[in-house]
Amino acid sequence: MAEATELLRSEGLTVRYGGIEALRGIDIYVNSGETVVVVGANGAGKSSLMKAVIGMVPVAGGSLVFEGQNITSTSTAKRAKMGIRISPEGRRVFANLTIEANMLAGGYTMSTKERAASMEWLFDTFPMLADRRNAKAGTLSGGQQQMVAIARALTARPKLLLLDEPFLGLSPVAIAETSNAIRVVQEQGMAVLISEQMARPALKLASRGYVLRSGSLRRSGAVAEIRELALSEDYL
Amino acid sequence: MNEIIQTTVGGLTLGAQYALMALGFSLAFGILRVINFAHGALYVVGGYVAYFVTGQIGLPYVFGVMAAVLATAAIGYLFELFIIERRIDDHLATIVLTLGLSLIGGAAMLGLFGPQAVRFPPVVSGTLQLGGVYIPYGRILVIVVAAFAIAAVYLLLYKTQMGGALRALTDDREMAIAMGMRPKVLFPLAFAIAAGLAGLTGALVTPQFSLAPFVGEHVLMISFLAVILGGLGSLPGAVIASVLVGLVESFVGVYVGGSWAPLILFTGILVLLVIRPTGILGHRTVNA
Repeated sequence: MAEATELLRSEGLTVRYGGIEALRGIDIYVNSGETVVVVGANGAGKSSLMKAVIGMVPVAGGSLVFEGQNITSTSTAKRAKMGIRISPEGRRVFANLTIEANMLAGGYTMSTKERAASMEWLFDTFPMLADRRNAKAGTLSGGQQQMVAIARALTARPKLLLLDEPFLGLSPVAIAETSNAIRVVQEQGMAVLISEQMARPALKLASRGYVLRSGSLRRSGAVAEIRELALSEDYL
Repeated sequence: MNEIIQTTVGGLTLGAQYALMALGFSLAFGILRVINFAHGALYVVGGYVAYFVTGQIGLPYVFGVMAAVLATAAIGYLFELFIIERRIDDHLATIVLTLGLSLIGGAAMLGLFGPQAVRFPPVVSGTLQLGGVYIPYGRILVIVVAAFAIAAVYLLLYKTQMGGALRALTDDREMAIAMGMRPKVLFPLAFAIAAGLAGLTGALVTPQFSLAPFVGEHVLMISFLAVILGGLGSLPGAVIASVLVGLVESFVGVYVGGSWAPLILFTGILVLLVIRPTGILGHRTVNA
């Protein structure tokens, strides 16, 4: 295996909504090919962190570096082109579009040929997508929508996949299926940053993690080091 | 029997014409969520551009039609890019802005061509006679163009990458941007197509009817009817509703009297919307 190179780094990342600080001086990093989890209670700032990385919320202070380039003020569309994709909180699939059209949209920045190959791989790997490719995404179950949201992000074969609350509102069976899908992503060598309130299934997927509380980092380190605090945070 | 066939054919041709009128309006609403009050004015501008090129410069009609499409599409493109795009999520603002464009369009035609209806040189004349049924060739042209335009818009929206992107942007703009789509590039193009369709309709239909600065109001009203009756944002719904309106108007005109057609239409639509508030093919938004 190649030596780990740094893919994403945030330094002193701060996000404000009006006068309220949602994130205060966050320092995190993600190496290429690794899976990192950010756990914390509702309102801890997990989604703000994910949105700041993709550019959906403006950064009030600090910096973001992706593959050695400062992307702090780069547009969202440009970041997408650089290889960052998000499966957002609440999934937000294109409800009126079919599964296939959702995936086509996910691969918008690719060439037709690349995109077709990528979609074929996804259809082979996740048969549910192929079986229901002409179903409108809005008619699917929560677990299926989560699969579509992940597949939509994967179509573009991103270097960094952001999964914001992938288990939220899912049944135990759907959580297991989503976890399996994430493992397939890991085997492809993509870096994954997961934010999740449900620490237990999320910690199983990651090698490192951060515990977030009230917009600040409480602890960081290997999963074994943060497990205890992460699980206690789950019930706050 | 011949009378019923003639009335049906008349209703269908009228319906095709209404469908063409409503197509651009429905597209602007379906994709940009903008109620384009300038749709009728763009129809009128299209008519005058065709009149100017054909009647005043003296070029063949086909050049007039092409010039009408290009001119209105250009107006639509610039208007979306510089004015609508800044206020795209503010529905009241876009209504007021398109209403403003409508007034400017009508006033500009009034200034340039005067208040009187202008007379087109005969562009498409003659009547097709099939058994006992008569159809003017001008109407046949409108039907053929309407069919092509509807098919083209459908293919654009459902079979091209740009169409997929436009539908994704309509569904969830923020997510679509997070996949690399750029509304500032795509939305002006979509509005240009919608405006160009209005101009195309004006160039084709005004020579058959009349062309004066404010004849666009009728077109706007028909477009509203088709889009509301068909279900907001549904293109097939708008087409079906247009044909239905055309048929009702034609049959009422023959069997009841033409002056009653608007009253019967509006009352019928009101009753239908009470029974089925989402229109013929409209559906409630699904919240996941």
